Amino acid sequence: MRRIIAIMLSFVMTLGMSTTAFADPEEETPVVIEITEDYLYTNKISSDLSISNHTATCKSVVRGDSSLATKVVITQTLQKKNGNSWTYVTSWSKTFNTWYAIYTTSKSSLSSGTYRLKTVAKVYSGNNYETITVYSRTASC
Amino acid sequence: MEFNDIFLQALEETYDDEFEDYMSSLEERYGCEHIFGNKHNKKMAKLIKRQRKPYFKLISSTGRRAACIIVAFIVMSASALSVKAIREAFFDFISNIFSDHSVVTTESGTDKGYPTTIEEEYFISELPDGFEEMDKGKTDNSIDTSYFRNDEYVFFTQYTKTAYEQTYDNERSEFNEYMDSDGEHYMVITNENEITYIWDNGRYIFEIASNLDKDFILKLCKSTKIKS
Repeated sequence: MRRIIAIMLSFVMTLGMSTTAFADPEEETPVVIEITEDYLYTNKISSDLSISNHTATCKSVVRGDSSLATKVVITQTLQKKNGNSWTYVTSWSKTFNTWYAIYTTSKSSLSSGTYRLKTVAKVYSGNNYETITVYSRTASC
Repeated sequence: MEFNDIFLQALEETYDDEFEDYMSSLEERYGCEHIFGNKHNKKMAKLIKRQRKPYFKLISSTGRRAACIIVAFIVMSASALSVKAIREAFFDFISNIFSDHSVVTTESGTDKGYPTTIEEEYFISELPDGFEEMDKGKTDNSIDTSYFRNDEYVFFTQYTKTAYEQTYDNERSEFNEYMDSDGEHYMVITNENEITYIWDNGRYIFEIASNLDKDFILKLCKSTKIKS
C-alpha cells in the first residue's frame, strides 16, 4: 500500500511540474532574460508574423498608457523551431520616443520551417520601465 | 486438504468449543446472559458498515487516512499550478485572464468563411476632420493604423480571425460586452484614458481604441468600410 501511495505521489508531482513547463512558452526558449510583467504603463501589446514566398513580415504593436508612458523600446527576435526548442534567426530593435509604437520589419530568404516572432517591449515612464514579452502565432514556409 | 488447513480447522473448532464452555460457565456462575450495550452495538454496526466500503483498505488506519489527505492536497495543488489562466467567453472572443494581463483570442472552430490573409482593407469612413494618419504597420494577417489630432487619437486594427491574439492590461482596465441597436456584438475594454471596441464582422476582427467619447467611437466602428 505504501509503495502504491509513493508511486501515486511521484506520478502526480511529475505530472504537475511537466504540465506547468509546457504552459509557459518562455520555457521552450533557451535564452535567459529577466522578465518583469506588470502592465503598469502598458495598455496593449501584440506580436504578428506572416510568411509568404520565404519572406517573413514581422509587426509589433505596443500601446502604452498615454498619461504615463514616455518611451517604448522594441526588440523583435525571429525564431525558428528546432525540435522542441526555438533557435535564433535574426533580431531588430528600435526606440520610439512616445507612448506607443507600431514596428514592422521583414526578413527574406528563410529556409523551410516553422517560425515565430518574439517581441520584447521596454515601456518607460520617466526613468522607470517595465519589460513585457509576447510571442506571435507560428507561421511556416 | 493440506496440513495448514487441517490445523486451522481444528483450532477453530477447539476455540469455538472452549468459548461456548466459558460462556456457559459464566451463565451458571452469575445466573444471567451477557447482553451488549446499545452504545457498543452501534459502534460495532458502524465498524462493520465502514468495513464494507470499497475504499476501506485505503483509510483503515490513521497513517493511511493521512496519506490520502496528502495525495488529495498534492493533486489539487498540481491542478492549480497547471491551469495558468481563467478563460472567459465574450461572444466570439475568448479572454485568457492572467494576474496582470488578459490575452484575447477568437474561438477556434468557427473560422468557416473567414479569409486567412487580408484580402480587403477596411478604413474608417467617418473619421473627423483634422485627424491625420501617423503610423501604419501591415503583414498578411493584420493592419494597424494610428490617427492623431493634437492629443486625440484613434488606433484602428484589422486582423484575420486565425491570427488574432492581443494582450491587454487587466489591472487598470475593465472588460465588458455590448450589443448595439443593430445587433452587433462588441467586446469593450475601458480604462481611465481610452476605450477599445473589438468586433467580428464575419470576415475580419476589428479594433478601434481611442480617447474620444465612447458613443463617438462606436459611431467610428459602424462607419468602417472596404477601401475601394
